[in-house]
Amino acid sequence: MLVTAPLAEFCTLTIDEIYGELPSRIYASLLMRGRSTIQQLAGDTGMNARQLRHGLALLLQHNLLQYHLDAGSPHYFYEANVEHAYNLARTGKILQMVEETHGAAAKDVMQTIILTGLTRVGDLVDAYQNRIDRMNRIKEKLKAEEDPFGNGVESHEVNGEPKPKPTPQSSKSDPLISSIADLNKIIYKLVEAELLIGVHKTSFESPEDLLATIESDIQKTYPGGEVKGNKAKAEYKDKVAEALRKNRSESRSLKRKLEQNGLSAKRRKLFDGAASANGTPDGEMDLGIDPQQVMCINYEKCLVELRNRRLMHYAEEAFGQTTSWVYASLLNLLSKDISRCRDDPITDRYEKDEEKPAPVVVTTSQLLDVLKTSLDLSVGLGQVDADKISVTAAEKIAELPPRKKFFIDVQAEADANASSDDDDEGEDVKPATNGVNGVNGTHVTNGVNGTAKRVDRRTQLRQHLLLLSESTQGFLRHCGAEEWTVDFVPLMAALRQAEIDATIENTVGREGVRLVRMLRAKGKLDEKAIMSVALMRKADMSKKLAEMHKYGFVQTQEVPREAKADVKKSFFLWYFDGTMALERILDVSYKTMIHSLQVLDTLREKDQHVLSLIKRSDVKGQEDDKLRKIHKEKLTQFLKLERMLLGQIQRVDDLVAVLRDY
Amino acid sequence: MFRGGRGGRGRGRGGPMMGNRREIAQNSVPWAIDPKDGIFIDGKPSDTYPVWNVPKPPTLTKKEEKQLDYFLIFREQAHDSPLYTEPPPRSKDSRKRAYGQAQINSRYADESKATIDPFTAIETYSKRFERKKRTLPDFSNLPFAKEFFPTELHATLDGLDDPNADRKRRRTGPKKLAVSNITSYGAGDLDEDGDEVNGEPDFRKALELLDNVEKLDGEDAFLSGEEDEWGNEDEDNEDAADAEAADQYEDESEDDYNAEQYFENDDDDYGDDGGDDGGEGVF
Repeated sequence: MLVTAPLAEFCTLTIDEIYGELPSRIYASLLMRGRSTIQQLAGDTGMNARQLRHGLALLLQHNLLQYHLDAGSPHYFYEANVEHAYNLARTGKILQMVEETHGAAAKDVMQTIILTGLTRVGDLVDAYQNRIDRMNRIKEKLKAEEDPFGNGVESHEVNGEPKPKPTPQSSKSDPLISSIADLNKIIYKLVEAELLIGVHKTSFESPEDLLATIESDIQKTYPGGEVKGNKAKAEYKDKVAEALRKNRSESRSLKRKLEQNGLSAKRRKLFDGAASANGTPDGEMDLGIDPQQVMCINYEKCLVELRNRRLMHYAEEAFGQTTSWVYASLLNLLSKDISRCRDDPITDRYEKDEEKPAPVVVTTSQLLDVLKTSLDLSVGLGQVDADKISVTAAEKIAELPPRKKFFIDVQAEADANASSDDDDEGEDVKPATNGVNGVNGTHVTNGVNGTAKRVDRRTQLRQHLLLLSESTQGFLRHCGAEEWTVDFVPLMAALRQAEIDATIENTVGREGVRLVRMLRAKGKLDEKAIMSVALMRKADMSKKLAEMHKYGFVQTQEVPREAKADVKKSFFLWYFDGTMALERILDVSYKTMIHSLQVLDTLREKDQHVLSLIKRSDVKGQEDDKLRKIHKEKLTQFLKLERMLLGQIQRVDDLVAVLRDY
Repeated sequence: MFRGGRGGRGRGRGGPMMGNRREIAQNSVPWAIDPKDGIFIDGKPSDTYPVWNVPKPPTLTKKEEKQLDYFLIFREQAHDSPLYTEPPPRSKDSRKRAYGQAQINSRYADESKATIDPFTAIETYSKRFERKKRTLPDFSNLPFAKEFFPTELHATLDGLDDPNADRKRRRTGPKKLAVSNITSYGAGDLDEDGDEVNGEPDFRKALELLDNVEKLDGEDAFLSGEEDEWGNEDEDNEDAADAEAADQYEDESEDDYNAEQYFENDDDDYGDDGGDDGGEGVF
């Protein structure tokens, strides 16, 4: 990740927001100066060594730092881990995602782990045991209170307590972990989903240090410590990549251990059944994990899950809900074997194509098995006469992923079409594609309207899948008979482009997007050429182009006509550079988020007396009784504004995620 | 004289005014515009700034609300943790733009006895209820996976990183991880929906209350007897505050007067509000 000044500031502010001032100051200095020792930090921040040690320990505990110790050197070098710091702002999303997929109890565990940072399994179990004990104690107390004389049910009704019956309520709250067996199950689940990973020796090495160590190790195996010749160099690179991959897989050792212990999903289900039937004691679930094992959250996998959600939303925009649900289940299946959104250029480098791990594939039957039966697949598909279908075209199998050029061509074509149709932006693909694609059900013979045809579920599912695979966005690829895969790279490129276009449209209007699309399709154009393509008046066009240039969406290049560069005679070519536009948008996004946090800080200062009041231990929890009316109003207003500001940050982060991380 | 326009007023031809054109503008300006000519001066002040359409974001969706709730609760829990460091209130000047690291550092160093606000610095009774502000994270009661930390930080993680550690009572209690009890943010009682965030408030209150009682009596005492007292307290939540107050007293008497403490200040550069490392290490 390229760390620009706004990004650095945002990370610092986020840490300040969550962990306090001391760590954020150290973090800011680390970002500013790069890797430093404690002594250097002391010189820079003016803090004493004790403060620094506390701050660094705190940051390390929350996995926000990397450190490195050169052999023989007494000084540790600390370095900021920007990815993790940025992901702190996504905590809400991650927790919501965990709750959606694994339940509220899993969310609770995840929250505890994020909160603690590096967590030893044994400590976590102890902590929950403690809480469970306390809950049980409360329950007993409440029970005892309810019928002090063992009168049975009537007594609490007679008593007419001000609060509604506590016992049923507390039992309702128990979906949160009620026994250690539950906790173990949840840890298994999360580890299996790779949302939690084990921490190992090199977890805290920065990628650069790791690479340097591995490279020097491998270089030693060559004679004279030098790699000579093209062939040797390629081999060397391969070795480095392999070593890196090996190191990376170490964090998954926890998962492997679990699988070796035979507590894979299937067996666990059996186990569950047995446990519920016989009332197995807590200890029995405690099989796989070493209590000394240290875990932390795996943001990479979390991002994969979040990306799935985003893609589902994207498919929903294009095709409607039912298809998007099908797509979501397919992505869920696929992403079991996907650990990260983007491949690392060095680590995931393979000398030969054959060595590359085969792309993950899902078959129709697999998908059919996981789809909920409550999902009505007949919804969201059009019906077209059979003779209007080209079966061969619809069922065409594409074994290879689309090459990049091909993809661009398709885009360009689509853009060209859109632009020549003047106002048609090519965005309303929905009805057209739907109609054409609905056809794919080759078994459907006649399209008598109104009559519900008996089509089996599998065929319907295939129709949805074919619909997805035929889309211009490239949601899905029919890569073999009944086999489906997703080419994430071109798909995400399409999504990124769509996001950039949307941003441009919101900033400068539709004409702007139209011009950008033209420039994207045609490359660099002179003003006259643009005029003839765009069919716009010169004044309008120049104004629009200048405006977009101001926002950094389009760039110009000066090409002199003669050897003597004369400004008056040179050509000025306009062009659209996707990367530059993207970076510009990212930059503005970071600044927006920073601004929101700063405004929040100012608001906090303004309402400081009220906010300090609600933190008082005698007021906390009973604000309604203890606060004055005017304070209550202020507090409500502040909370409202805070929600708006943080909500804004989350929204902007959605954009950042698409443009940068997915 | 510039009063030429006055004559115009008498003619009574003003008639009903149109729009914002004001009488004054029409008649009393010195350069005497005759309404006959149909020239009017618009008395309205001109717009200083162009109209700016502030784009309003659509309201948050349910899912986003949920994500936000979770983030806020997470933040609240983090703030409740013994590792959270709260800055002392800064003077307004600290917000000014800083040039260079030295100036940035000086922002944080302006807290000393000389800059204490004399109106709020005096100890009052209600100060007892205020949250203890920490200037250094307190590692002493939490477990850590020390094998993953640089050796130079190990003493810190043990809670022994204190120049006066050997002379002071070492506060390394049992190292235990705790699950946070906080399940709501902001004024949970103010808005009705807030309570439903993550389960029911009564239960949470009961947990918090239990904390108080346990602090008061020590776990064993609590377990062995005085169930009646507990029952009463649970019935009436307002007693929580009393329990807290009693807690404070209890702490004090427990700690007794410790003369050494008053003269051995900590090394916190953050300021002299001193006793953050002082006697009561109950978190």
